[in-house]
Amino acid sequence: MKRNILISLLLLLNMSYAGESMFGLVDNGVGFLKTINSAAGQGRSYEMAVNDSVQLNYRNYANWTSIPNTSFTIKFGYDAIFSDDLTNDYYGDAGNFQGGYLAIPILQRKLILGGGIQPISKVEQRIVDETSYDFGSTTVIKENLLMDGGLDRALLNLSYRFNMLSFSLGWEYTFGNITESLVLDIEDETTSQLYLNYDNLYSGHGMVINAFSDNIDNLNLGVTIRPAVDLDLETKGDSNSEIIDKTRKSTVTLPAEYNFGIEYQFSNRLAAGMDVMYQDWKNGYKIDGNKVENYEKYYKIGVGIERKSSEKRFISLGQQIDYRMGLYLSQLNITKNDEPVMEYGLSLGFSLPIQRFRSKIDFSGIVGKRGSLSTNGLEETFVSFGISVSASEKWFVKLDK
Amino acid sequence: MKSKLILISIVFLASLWGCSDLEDTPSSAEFNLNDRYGSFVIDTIYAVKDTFIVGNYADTDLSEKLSVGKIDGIEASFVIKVLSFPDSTLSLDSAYILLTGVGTFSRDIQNIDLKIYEVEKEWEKDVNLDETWHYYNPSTDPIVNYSVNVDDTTEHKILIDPEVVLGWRASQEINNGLYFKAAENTDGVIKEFGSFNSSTSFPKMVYVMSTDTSTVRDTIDVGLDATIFDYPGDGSGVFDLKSNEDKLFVSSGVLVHSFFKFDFAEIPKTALIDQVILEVETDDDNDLENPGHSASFYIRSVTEASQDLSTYEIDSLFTLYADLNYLHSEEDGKLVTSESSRSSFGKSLIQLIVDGSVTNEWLYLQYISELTDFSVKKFRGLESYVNHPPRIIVKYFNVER
Repeated sequence: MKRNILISLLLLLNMSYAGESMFGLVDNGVGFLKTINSAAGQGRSYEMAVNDSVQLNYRNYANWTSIPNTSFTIKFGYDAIFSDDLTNDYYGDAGNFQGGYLAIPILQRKLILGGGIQPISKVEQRIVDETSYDFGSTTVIKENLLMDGGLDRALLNLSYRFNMLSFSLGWEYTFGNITESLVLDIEDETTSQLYLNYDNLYSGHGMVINAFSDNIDNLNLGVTIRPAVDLDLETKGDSNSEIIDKTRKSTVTLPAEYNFGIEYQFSNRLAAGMDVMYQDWKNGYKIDGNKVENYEKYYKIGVGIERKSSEKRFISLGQQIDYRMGLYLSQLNITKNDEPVMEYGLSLGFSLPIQRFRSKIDFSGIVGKRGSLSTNGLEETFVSFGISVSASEKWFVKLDK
Repeated sequence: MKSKLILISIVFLASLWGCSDLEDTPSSAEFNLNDRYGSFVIDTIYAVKDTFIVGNYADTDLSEKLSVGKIDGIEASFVIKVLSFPDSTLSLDSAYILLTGVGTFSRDIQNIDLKIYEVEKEWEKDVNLDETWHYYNPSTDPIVNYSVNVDDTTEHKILIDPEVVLGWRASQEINNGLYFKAAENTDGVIKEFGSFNSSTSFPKMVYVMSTDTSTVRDTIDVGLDATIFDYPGDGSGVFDLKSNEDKLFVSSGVLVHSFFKFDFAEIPKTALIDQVILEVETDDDNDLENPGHSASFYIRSVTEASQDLSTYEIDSLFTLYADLNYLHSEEDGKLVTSESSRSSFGKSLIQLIVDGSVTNEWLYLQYISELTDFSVKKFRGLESYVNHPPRIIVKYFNVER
């Protein structure tokens, strides 16, 4: 019963509120691209080659073969963004559900079936823009735009372990809705208003291939390849015009994604690693087969270290905590003022056991900066926090009476 | 158990972890919409055709005025009868009708001579719709000749032969009331009196009666009345189409309406219409405009029409719901859409025409109040004022996305 309550709560959780990055406001876009790690991965800035028997890996599903029991991991995040352009300062913050996965061992530590959902982009911002027209007398148009929504990705995945090598093949369904609500306040001899609303509904199937190896002593390797995805885009208008409101269909192509990660374990308790991600949005992001302007090649390099908890049984609380730290550098997938946008950050994190070796809660924090006033005309300083809850339970396991 | 409760609590609390309100983000020079969705346009489209049509007779049943006189071929006369008489036991010494002057317009005429007849045939309040009453010529001599000062707005006391009244009292069947008509040589003046529909200036019949001991005056203000407007149907007169090819008329009393045809295909299908303003130049060379008649007009939509406009159909919404009509009034020598109607004119009619949702053959112009009294408004048509023909100014947002 309690299990069911918990699952129900999880399914209800997809709240997302105001104030995502202003870099998500790019025209013809799907919002601000989010490469989400678990809180543990966020804390150390790498995750691809990490082997964890309790927490499900958010970046490489091949190493779900490490789990002994049915496991779930769910993450919540909070971002506070301080934006600055050449004339004004802005502030926005957002609390989001940032993905959750459930994996069930069909064959313990060998064949794992799992699935979950994770946001991959988000936009939630309002712009007010004012334009004056001279038609003999002055007409002032105030455009109020609210962009809201994003894309999510649902996953159904099968992971299999061959000795020291694990592979996984996943079917992914990408879906989402991005709403553009435009209200025009028109002031001339009279005051009037026009409204124009677009609902952009995305949907499409894709796949993901992962590999994980801990074959070499103290060295783990991880690879994820996600081929390009074609999404069906249905744009529904809502205005005073039946012609503008007619539903339009198009195809949006998300570029292929390549991930590589490595972790070296200095000892049982100390490890260091690196993740590299690459996605060519400049040439690979297309609408109806045509490249879209103002997009750039995306890459992210993260390095970090982790001080793991002791595996001994009778130890102090401090020795039960994992400590993590990392750095990352990223080039965003968009340009601003025709210049690439760079992002970098420092990450910290730790985990607390709820039940040793069975469940834990991970905390992470990032402070970072994206954009540049001098090149992009816009920069953001942000603080992000993450919480992941992971548990390994004997669900769906037939117990002998 | 305890760990599960902790897990559930953590997840539930994290789900309540929300965010601040979405703040307005003022635009800046670094982040504006740059006509992302379109641009605001003001465009003028000119009439491709215009004309006026003399319509059917008006139903003057509910008019608050009774009109009598002649001007430029238009003749007005009225009928009136009272429905109550003193008791038959009372003798009648005298009787008179009191009529209150409420308006006039004339060409330097001081007096109007009225001829008052006893009506020989039955009539109803919609007498102006009865063909047999137009250019009615009584076969008997007038029972009263009465001269009125055209500017006199006091009560006019018109003595009626008591024998006539006694005859009505004796037999209601012969009570057809009185018929008021201007003398043959009258031209250039219309005099108006209050009718039984008026709240303050209604007609009264006063009976003076003697008893054995005193003289009694009994005033009756219950009766029927209506005006009859005549116009030559042979094409001559002030509304002659052939001699007025460059002019447009709107008239009340004698129903005349103007029609305008526009090619709305000039407005792009991607237009989101904000306001529409119709402008038609007025012709000040007009002494047929009644100063007592409100210079307010309606524009309505004609959905079907024959080639010569001998038959046409107005969108029934305008005839059923008065507040859906588009108000127009005179401003700076032009007929102009009132500010209160510009938005609905654009959004509720012209937008639907552009979308192809409704059919429009013509726009139709009339006085708001056209059944009460005689008044003519003259406009310059397409042929008359080629530099300023009838036009529609359309303000719209041209959607480019």
